[in-house]
Amino acid sequence: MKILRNINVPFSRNQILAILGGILVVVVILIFIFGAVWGGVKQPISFNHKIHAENDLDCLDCHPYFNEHASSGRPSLETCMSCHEEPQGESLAEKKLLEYIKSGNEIDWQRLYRVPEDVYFSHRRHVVLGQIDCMTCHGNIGESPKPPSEPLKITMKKCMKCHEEKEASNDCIACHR
Amino acid sequence: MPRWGMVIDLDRCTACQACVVACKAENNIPFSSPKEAGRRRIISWMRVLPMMEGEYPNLRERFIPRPCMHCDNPPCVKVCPVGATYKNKEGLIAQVYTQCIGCRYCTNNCPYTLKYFNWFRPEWPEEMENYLNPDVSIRSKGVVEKCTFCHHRLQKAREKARAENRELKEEDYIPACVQTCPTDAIYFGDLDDSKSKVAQLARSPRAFRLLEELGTEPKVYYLSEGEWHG
Repeated sequence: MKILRNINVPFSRNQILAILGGILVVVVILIFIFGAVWGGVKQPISFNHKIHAENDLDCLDCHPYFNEHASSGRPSLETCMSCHEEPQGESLAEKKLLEYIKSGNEIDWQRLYRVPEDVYFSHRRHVVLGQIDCMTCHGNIGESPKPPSEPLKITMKKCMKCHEEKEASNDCIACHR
Repeated sequence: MPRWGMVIDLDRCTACQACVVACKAENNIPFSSPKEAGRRRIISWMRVLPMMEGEYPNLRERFIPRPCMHCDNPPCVKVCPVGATYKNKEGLIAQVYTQCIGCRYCTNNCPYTLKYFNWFRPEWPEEMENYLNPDVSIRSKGVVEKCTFCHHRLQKAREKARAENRELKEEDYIPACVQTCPTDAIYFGDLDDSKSKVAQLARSPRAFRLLEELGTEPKVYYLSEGEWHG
């Protein structure tokens, strides 16, 4: 604080310390807020896709609707229970799941992505009729030990490129509703 | 590639407005208040135009249901500065709401006045919010909209045909107004398929189109008798 004492400013040392402290508090709060906003989506259970895929589970086992509906669906508690009624491992995530099973409450899986309101997207149309593999859009999700915190960047450009390659319609109203 | 068109038999039409209601329900068209209607800000993709013919005491009231004419030479497309409205390969005039800047050039250039501007944010009574059609978007304030010939139904029909591993048949794709018409006055189909009902009816001597002299080549034909054809 020697330097501060030598500078001729109209504040006392304590005032300067108070101001610096105030700024620090504001910065910490800002970081906290940004962290909450940009930290992405947090799932109630840290689902490990990798370990499930290694145990020969198919995407369809937990996301049951992509062959039939527009949305692919997230697993119900019943689906989890079909394997996890007895503990399968010792992970923290599974312990959390066992608590859910005990209480009987559905797991409130958080939605990562919402299709923009003006776009019509159907999983069924792409997977069943278009014969597209899940990985084409979802990448190597089966090898990820943690649930993704943010959706993949799927842009209209990407959609249109693929549509061109597969000779699907690139007419605006084929997707925009 | 089909060229979708419509034929409306005015002799069969009783002006019951079932098509108007069906269209509103199918396409998430909000209600209007009498005040808005008085300012001509009501949205109704299908609209029945009353027309008085003759002079007293020989009056004759005619009713003409009018969806978008889906012109082959569309005046609205020519003036859109942002490509929000265009003619697709099947002859449908599409409206891309997210692209629309709300300049209303197209609304003013449509000789049939069948394009509608959203003057207000659409609102429904709370009980109805869960009954909106998920296949049709809810347009925001400040964009232009119009009849799409229920294009979303074509998407569904095409998907169904593909799932059943067959070609799309004409009867797979039926707009809501056609489906609901109690007197079967509206026909819909491929105008380029000479065997289709609409193509046959469009060739009938009773067939005429609205404001044909403008050269807009509308794909909505009307059937009437005698004096209408001129």
